[in-house]
Amino acid sequence: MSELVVKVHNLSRSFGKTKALDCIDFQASRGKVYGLVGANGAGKTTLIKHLLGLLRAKSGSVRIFGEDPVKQPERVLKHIGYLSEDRDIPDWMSINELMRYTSAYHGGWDPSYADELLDTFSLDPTKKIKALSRGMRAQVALICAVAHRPDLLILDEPSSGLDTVVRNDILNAVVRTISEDGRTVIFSSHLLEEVERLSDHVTMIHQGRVTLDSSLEMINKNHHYSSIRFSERQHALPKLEDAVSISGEGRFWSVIHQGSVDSFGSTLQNIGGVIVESRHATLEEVFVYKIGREDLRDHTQITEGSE
Amino acid sequence: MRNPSQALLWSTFKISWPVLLMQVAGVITVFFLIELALGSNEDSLSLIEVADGIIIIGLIFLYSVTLHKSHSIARTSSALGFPYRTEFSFPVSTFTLLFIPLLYFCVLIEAAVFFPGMVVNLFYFNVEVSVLPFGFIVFQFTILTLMLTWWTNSGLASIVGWFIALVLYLNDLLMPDFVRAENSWIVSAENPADYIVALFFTVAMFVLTYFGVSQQRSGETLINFGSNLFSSAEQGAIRDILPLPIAVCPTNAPVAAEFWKESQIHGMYGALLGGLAGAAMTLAIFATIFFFVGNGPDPKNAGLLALPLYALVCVGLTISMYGVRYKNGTPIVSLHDRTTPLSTAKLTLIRISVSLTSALLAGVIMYGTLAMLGPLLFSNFQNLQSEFLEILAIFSGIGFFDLALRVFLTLSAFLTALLLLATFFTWTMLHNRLFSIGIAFVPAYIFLWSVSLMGFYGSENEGAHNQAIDAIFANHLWLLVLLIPVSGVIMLRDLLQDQVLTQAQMWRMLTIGIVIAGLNLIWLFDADHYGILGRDIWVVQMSYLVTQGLLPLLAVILALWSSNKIRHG
Amino acid sequence: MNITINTKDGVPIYRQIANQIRYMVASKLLKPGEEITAVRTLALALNVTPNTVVKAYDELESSGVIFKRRGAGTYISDQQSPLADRERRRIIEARIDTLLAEAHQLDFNADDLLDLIRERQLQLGETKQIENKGTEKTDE
Repeated sequence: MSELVVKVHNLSRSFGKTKALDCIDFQASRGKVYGLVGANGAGKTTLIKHLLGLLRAKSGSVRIFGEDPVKQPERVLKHIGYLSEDRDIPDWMSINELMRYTSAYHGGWDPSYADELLDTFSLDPTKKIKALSRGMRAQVALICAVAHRPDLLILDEPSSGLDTVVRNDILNAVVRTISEDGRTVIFSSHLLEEVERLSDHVTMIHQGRVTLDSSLEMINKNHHYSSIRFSERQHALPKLEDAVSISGEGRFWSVIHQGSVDSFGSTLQNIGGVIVESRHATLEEVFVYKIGREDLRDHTQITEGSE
Repeated sequence: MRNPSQALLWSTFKISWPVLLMQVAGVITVFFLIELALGSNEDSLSLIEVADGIIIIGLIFLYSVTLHKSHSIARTSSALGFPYRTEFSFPVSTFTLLFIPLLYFCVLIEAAVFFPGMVVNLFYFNVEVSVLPFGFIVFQFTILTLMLTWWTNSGLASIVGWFIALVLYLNDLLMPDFVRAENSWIVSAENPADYIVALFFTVAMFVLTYFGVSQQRSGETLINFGSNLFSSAEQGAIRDILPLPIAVCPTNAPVAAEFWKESQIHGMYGALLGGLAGAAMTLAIFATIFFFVGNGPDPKNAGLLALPLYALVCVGLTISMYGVRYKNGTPIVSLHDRTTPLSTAKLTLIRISVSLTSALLAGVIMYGTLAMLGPLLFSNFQNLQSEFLEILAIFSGIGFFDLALRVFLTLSAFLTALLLLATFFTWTMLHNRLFSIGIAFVPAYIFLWSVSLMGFYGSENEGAHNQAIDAIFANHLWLLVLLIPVSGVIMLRDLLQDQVLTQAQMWRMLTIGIVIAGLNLIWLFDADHYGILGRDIWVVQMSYLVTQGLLPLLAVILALWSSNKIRHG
Repeated sequence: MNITINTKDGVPIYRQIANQIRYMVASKLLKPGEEITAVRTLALALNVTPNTVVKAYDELESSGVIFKRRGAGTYISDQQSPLADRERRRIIEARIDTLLAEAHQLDFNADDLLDLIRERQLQLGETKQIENKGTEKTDE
């Protein structure tokens, strides 16, 4: 049983009337990469802020490395590298100054690693932060988060708002950090492609609730996208038990479904359909399905089976 | 930088050094002026009191700028609350985060007072500037102001905090009772044990501030009610506070729409809120003083005491006249404002008229409320009304034209001052470092001039320093006399080049400006009023007074020029 | 190794990596005993988490395609023949399945399909001869 780096239990949080988090349970084990997925405003940043002690757990508990980040900020934050969503770094400093400043707080700062990253990103260390473009700003903030080789790396939307080249660079730097032993990474993103590339484990949050929480492998195993052919034209398909996203017309339909392909195949046989081709559903398709189901659930109160 | 404490010190230094430079220069100058006052053997005591006043007002001003600047590293939109927010996610204890900057500011400002004091002691043996009590005052003032600003995000809670501090102060719990020895600068505490009491309460406030900062670190606010109303410095927040009807935006013309927008931000409701809030605060302060000191402030001074609060209200209403505000610690002008399809001239004039009218209205509301409620609440205000009528009587004996002239000129002077201040503050916001250094330069400049001229005239000579001061004054006043028209012409040239104004508009504006200057001249030369010809004043002073009439025109030109610069760079 | 990742077609990334390596072994692009890229290097090159590469390599190792020499890299196994055959067969079978499904949809039966295959083979063979004559290259 690998050590639990993060343990969030029954965490809820409201801002005024809005419920940002609703009984969230979340755990992170050492050495794995956790992707937090959700639409904008789903609650990802709120959850992340709780991990850093920037928000106090009013209902439920948060433990990082076994400690409460609010009560022990010094001890907990020492092990954490954080990239905030709005790249919250002082505008008035130069890149060099910021790195020296950050290194004063975090032991374990590796200057050669930092320089290497500066080089990779082609950043001029004498430039002032306020003179940097959005992408460069994100790069600098990332360097400050990873260069002290933290045990836990927390990235809030690391590549949002960035062009492809910069995004690639940043992903690469993150991969580099991941590949060091024992490092745990938690990152939030609404770009599912990068989540699929980096995560071992995916947690989906929708309107403050966890709607999916499993390893990427399991998600892939459990969700399939199948092309179906019917012998006769269909106007609409009947409700199929595992199917949750249906599209198509006439004799040819596509379905995203849970469970095994075989069991779905036998269900289909009963209504005269045959699976032509089947593949794993992409994370994006699962995500859209999940969101759809959630909205549907809110409207018609269908109780969902366990994953 | 090896550890968090060093890093914090470095960061605080880098952020605040221009302002502290200003502070040090100011304090040195004040001390020097005090010395001059004492050396002149004139009415030393009253001069000392003036010096007192200068120091206190100067310190208030400089502290507020220091605080504001220390907040420019903050990432909150509100001016309140603890500024070192990026560091909240760093492995540093809340105690270190709070203690180091506090210590830094106190020590530095203390040094700014201590060293000039020692210099004065060394060079002028007949004056003993008693550093300890004065040092204590400065220390307390610094640490309390910082703590009271940093402990909470909520405007309402902050006000409560200031009131509690006021109560403690009036009960001599935060500052000992100081007495001044006869005819000298030596100040000491009546009862030395008071120092201990003051330190005790200061430490208690520190503990509370620590609690407040750790609350902020984990996303809480100490006193929650009304927090979102008062803590936000957002545009348009004012209209959400008062449950009054909101006018619908007109769609017939851009000018009308812009006027509506400006009014929503700091128009009528802003004036109403500002005026009422100002009055409420003033009355509350009076009540507190009344309660603890016994007989309350002299009503004659009531208007004067309310003045700083009114000034704050004015600053609040006019500070964003050019659309410059702080977002995430840096001053920005919203792109929305800069790309609105309205000419710079029209935009500026709309903004000026709304802001200034607002400020004026706020003043009327505030003082009006004070005048009405004051006598009801405080017994020694009863006579206020009769005294007020006496003042009005001054105006009654004169003709209509004279009255109109007086009112007009007073109004124009007031509005001009407001406009110039708003423009000045805006530029300070945008080019903080430059302006801080420039402002620090002024006292240094005065200092150097005084010293050299003192040397020139010989300091043993009785009237020497008077001559020195007069000479400086005369020379620099000429500078101002020339500066006003010359800068006006330069700016007008820029405005014409950038087609902010057409020739026709420019001439119209000049005409109005010259008419106002002419009215000023009439007032100056009319023997019944200022009677400039009958008086024994210098040529240079007269020239200045004449040129002063051009200030309203200059203020508007400056406003247009600034607006253009800010909008297009 | 020239590996590309596609996140759009639903195939898990580790599976794609493993498949491509298998393909390269089967088509002799990777020879037995040859060292393959280290986990970390490949992860960086593909911009995927190293765990994914590890999983791919683990799968390949358990099916005998590769083996790890302790502390000295990862290599293609020598005993490839039965596996190579199996792998090659698997790849072709997958293609055939898709072909059959499409053919069925378009109303071609298996015999039609075989005829078509022979036809296409002949045509491609002729084209190749013409090409060879044109460039006067000797064929392998």
